[in-house]
Amino acid sequence: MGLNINTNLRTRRSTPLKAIGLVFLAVLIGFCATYGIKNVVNYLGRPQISFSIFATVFIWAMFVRPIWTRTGTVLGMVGITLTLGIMLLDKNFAHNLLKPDNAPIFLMIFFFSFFLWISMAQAHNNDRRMEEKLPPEEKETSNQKTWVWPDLVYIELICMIVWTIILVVWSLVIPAPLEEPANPGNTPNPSKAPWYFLGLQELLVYFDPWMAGVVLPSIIVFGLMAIPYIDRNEKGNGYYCFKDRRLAILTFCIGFFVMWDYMIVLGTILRGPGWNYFGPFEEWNPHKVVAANNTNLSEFVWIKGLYPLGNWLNIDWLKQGVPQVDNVLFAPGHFLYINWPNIGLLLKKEFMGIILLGSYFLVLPVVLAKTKLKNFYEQLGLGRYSVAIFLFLVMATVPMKMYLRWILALKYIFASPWINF
Amino acid sequence: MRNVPETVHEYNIPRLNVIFVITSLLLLGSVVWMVWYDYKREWKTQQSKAQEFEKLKLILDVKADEDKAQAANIDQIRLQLQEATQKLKEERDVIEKLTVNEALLSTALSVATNRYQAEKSNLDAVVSQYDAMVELNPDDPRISKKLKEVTQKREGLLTFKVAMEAAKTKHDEAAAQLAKEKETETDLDKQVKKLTKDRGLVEARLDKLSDVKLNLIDRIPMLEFAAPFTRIQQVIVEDQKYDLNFTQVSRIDRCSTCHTFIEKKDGMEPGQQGFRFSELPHPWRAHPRLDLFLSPDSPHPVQKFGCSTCHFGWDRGVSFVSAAHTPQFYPMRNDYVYCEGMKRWMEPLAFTGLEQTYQSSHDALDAWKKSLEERRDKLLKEVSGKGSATPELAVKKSELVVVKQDLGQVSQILGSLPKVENLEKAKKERSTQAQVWNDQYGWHPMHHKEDPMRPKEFVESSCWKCHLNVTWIPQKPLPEGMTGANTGDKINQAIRLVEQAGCYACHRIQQLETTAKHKVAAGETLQAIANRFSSEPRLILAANGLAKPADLKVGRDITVPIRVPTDRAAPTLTKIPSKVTKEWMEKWLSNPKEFRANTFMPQFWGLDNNRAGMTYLSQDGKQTFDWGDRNTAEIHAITEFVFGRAETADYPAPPQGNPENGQKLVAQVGCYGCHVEKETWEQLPAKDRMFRTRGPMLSGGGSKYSPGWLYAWLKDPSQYHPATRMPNLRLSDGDAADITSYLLQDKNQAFDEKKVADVKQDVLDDMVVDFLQGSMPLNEAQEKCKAMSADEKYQLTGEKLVRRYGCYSCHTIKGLETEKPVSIELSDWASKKVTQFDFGFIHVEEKNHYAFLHQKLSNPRSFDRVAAKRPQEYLKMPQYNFNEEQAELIMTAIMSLTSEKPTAASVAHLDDNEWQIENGRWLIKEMNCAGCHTVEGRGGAISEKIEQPFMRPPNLAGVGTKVRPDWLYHFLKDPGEHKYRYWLEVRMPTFNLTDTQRNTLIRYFALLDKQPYPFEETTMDAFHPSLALGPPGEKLFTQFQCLSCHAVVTPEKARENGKAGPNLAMVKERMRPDGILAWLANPGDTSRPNPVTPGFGLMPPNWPEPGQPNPFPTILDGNTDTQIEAVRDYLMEYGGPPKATQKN
Repeated sequence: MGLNINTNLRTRRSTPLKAIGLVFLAVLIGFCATYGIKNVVNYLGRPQISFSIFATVFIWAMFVRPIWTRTGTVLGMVGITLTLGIMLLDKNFAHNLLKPDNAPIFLMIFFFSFFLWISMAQAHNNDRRMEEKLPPEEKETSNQKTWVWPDLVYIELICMIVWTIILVVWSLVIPAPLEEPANPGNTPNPSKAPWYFLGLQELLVYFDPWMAGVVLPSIIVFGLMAIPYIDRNEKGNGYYCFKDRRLAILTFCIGFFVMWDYMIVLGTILRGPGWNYFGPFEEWNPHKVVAANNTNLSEFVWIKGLYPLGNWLNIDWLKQGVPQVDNVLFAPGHFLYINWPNIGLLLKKEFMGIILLGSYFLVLPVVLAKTKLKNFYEQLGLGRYSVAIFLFLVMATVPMKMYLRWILALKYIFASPWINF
Repeated sequence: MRNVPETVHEYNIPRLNVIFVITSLLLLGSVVWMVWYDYKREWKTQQSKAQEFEKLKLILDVKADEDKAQAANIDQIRLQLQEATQKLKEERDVIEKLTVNEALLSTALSVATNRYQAEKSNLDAVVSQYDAMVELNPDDPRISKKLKEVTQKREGLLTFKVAMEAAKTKHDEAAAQLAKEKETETDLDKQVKKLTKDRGLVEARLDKLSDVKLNLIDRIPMLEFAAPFTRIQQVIVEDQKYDLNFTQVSRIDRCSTCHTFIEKKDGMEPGQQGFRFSELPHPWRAHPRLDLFLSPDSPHPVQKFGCSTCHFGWDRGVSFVSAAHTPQFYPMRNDYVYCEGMKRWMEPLAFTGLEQTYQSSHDALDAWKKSLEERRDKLLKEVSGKGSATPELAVKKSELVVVKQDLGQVSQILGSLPKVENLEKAKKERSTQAQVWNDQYGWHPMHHKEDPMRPKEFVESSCWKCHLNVTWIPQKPLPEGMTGANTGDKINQAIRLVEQAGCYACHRIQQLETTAKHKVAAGETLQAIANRFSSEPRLILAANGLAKPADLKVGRDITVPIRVPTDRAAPTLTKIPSKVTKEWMEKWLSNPKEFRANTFMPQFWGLDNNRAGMTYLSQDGKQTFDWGDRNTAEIHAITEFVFGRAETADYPAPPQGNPENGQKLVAQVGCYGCHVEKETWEQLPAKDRMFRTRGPMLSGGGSKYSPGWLYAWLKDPSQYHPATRMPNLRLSDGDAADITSYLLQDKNQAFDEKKVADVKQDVLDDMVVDFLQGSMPLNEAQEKCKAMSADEKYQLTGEKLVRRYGCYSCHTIKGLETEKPVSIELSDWASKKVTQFDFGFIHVEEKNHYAFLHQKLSNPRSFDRVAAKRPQEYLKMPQYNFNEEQAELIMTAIMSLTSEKPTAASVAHLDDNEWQIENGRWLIKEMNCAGCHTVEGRGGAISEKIEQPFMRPPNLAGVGTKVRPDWLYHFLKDPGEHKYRYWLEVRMPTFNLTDTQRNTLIRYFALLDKQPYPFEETTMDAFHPSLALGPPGEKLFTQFQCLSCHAVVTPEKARENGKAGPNLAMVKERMRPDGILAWLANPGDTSRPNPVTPGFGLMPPNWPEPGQPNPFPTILDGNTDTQIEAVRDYLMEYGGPPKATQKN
């Protein structure tokens, strides 16, 4: 393969960064010494922390070249292997991870790391070449022709053989377990989706089931379908690069690795009975109870905000608490007559959520089009811009909602008897 | 023109070729692996091993057979045949030569004869010429010449004659020899034919053998896909379903895929040598109780019940692990041993079998091997000595090959069997079943299987799933040659223990409740329904929520509770102050076992979650209290509450009694039928100590009872507690006083010396606030507490505590009689999910039902250890101090309680009579009749205390045949009035029975003896004694000297005599006329037809067996039947024995 990666990249490590790193390391070691490594890892594994760490490190790594080198990969792979190997020494971790169903997760971790490395390494290589006013590496071989037979067909055949071997051996070494007939009266705990849907299942923690199970997956599918129509950047066609397609690559990588894959791993390894968080070295105790005091935004507004305000200003209207909305959408007995008073109550109760969501989805795009994303808007035109910005904003709601849940224990920004967000 | 670049190879093609070859080989390898993986699947291996065992069986069978002798002689036959054939051939050669010789001689003879004949005719011609010459001219000179010629001719003829005769002799000899040889040939020919036939027969048998010799071609991997030599075996059990909540799925038991011979019978006499399926190692071993399970003629045929119905486990699993085998729970009870012969770990049972009975297979094989070796050595010697190749030698050589082949096979089989020599060494190594299984099969628990297999020690828990509504689950004795406990013993003991410990009082167990469904018919009264089901009217009303009998509408479906315990599990507390003191009760509550070692009253305080020294935070959070102080306060409060709720009755002090006489009386009147003394109890074997005797242990009475109460209680227990099971022994005042003084003599020194601690006021107040808080805010509760008097506080907390601990579940406490059981229902406990059990901080090796139950039973509060809970949140199940055996029994019972309900088709159906018998059995158990009597072969333990057999309570077998129901009714009502075994010291007490209960018992005895029911006293109406039989009856009565036993009057006299008989004056009112006939004909000699089981075994069979000579041939013509009838008629109608001597 025509991979030629410069391993002698200069390193740019600023002293303050080094210092911060060292302080963190020292604190970490201190905690480990105090509470034990396993407890610290269990603590750091909590979704809010591990997600933040992973996202930060990942995005930081995207911009730093040195790790996309051969040594970097080898080190990374060895690191992953060693870490997993050492963690497997723990009884609980081994018990949870070494289930036959989890074999794809292992493969996923290694394959995704490998392919990310290979593409990023080539992308950075081409970036460097372009800095040096050289054409991309792919250009050099783009005029070459090669034989369908034997070169193409032969290598495909060999690939088929190798994969057949892998599948046969896999099915022999880790046979599918035969379980008993499904019993609707006895759902397993934890009840987990197939491994590739565990990311979606994790969304159920933060979103209304309708959103997590139907709307968001549909938007993902349609969003992926829309990419060719939105992405008009012709750079990067036929060769790897990072600088020319920074936004596209970052969006994809964050969506795919940081959100989709991380949440699969989270759902597989760190979610136990009751879909509660269990640290990697924690025993899956079905009796574990986690405080669940999530509140809706309307409660924040009406109880924590307006009520004390009313007390202070002595306005009784503000002290009415959360308006009670019932789930009767239509007036009783009249299918065609909408229960407007109820809708009115709902609007009153959720006014803050409506304002926030309205400004997020309707005002923010306009503002951005006028300011920050002016070029982007001009490039795409109104239709494409609207679709693209909608998709971006929806995608951004996922981490936003996650952090809102973790930090504020916020349940729904907008809550109604029919749909929540 | 575009510049077309040169087309290049992207890859190094030769290198790709190499990679292609390598990957292709790897692919081939993986396919081979896949095929091998399938080929070596566990059950296939087990089945091919099973086929080897089948072969072994066939070989051993052939050997055991008579044919086997011939099979061993096949080579002999072959040799003989060969010899005979050889001889025949030689013979035929000889015959051929002789035949040629004879033919030659025959020719020679005919030649000689011809010559002689020719010469003779020449002579005759010459003689005729001479005669003619003499006739013509007697003097013809040629005459002399002619005569000379004649003489010459005659002489010449003689030579020919001799020659001819010699030829004939020669020929005759040759012909005779030929005939003889031909005869030999025929014999030989016959012999050869016979031998050939023999060889054919034997070879056919041997061919049959070689058929089962494993055909290797069939077993070639891949080829066996076409014609598999192994198959998955399964039984679809339509009737047995398991519940998947919204659907019922039939069991498909594939167990016999590996347990190949599970339903094969040995078909051999005990002790007979040979191959036994019941002695094979697992999984090939046959079921140990084929008389009860699996086989078509057993009560549980496999087609109807399957395997997993009783054993549970994953019915469709065909590997050891996936079938969800569960190892034994008690790891210390296994002795797993490594068997070098089998190259695997084995269960101890396999080795027990090996030691005792596997030996027989071994012996047969060993003997065969030895004989083969001898033969081989002999043949080797014979073959090596000879150099030249004779036919004999060839035969021997071929025989040697066969012998060597057989020897190899036998040695191989012997090697594959466990070896006894290794046993002792192997036994030294131990391992748990789980470890053994893990080594052997890679076993691990199947967490997602809802009903894993029951461990071996709990397998009987499945019996109670279907055998509901019976007092005793049927037990069948083990077949001959088997050792161990009877199937069914364990579950019966388990249920008994649950009843005795009173588990059902706090935990509802529907399996222990028996109800019948009934539709009220027109004109049917409540009493009639009650009678029909042996129930009580008030219970029927209560169970159906009816206020009065009139509410029972015609056509209404009602539930009739039957076999309801007559009393609660523990003594009533409604009149407790007259029985014991508050101080005694407090000491008792703090640790009941300290006072009475065998009590089932559990300990509530001072346990793992409320030991003294452990602390808890006060309600206001400002103080820390010690649990020891709280325990004192709780005990005191409960005592105050119980005493406060109880009514007091004053019992006057008893008259002075004589303790020695009291002791004698306790032994005499039969107290030991239900009670035990401490010393006796301590000497009981551990197995029997597990169970409580019916009443409390007779110890420490002096430390407990108020004398007045005890005296009154002994005289009439029901005046204190109407529902008590303690019967009235009809003691005289003096006897009661004596027994009272004896029982009060025994004191528990250590218990008396215990001190009751004072209640700390702040602890009590905190407790009050704790309970008040349930219904009011903290500060209000505190204020209310301040305003309360001490007694109010005790009454409040006492009631709350009694409700919390559920004291009322077992004891009757006024005002709490109708409270529901205090704890969870156990009716489907075994179907709970393991995740529903909170193990707390208890670490067990494997979280499962057994581990939880075991922990709960041996230390119920241990799950609370170091738990962060408020006092009222703590677990409250008390400590019973169950030992391991008791725990195992209770676990067995509780593991029976599944939600899986058997289909109607698979439950043993009780017909009306069987229901009634069960009702009686239940009452007999409830009243503890078997404490004194032997009933249906059970019980009668009191007999151990009474030396002479006729002084013991009678065996109740045959009561239904012998005794008149109306008499039995009156006897049960008042045994003292109807005492007919007047010499007995032990007393039939007066039981507190209702009419329904008495009728239940009468019906039970009748149905048990297959006597007609209902009794309308038809027997007496049909009894027409013959007047003529009276005098001969009296004669016989005298001749048999009946009065030598039946006239004994007092116990002393009976002891002197060493025998006694019942009061014959009561025969008419007591005995059934038919019953007397049966009884006289054969009182209990089981070797003779229709025995009536004797009460004591003293009544001799007076009349001889049918067919034997009658001892009194002059009376009634020596007709035994008529004689018996005469004695019966005499006793019942015409005089009977003089009554004066009979009355006690």
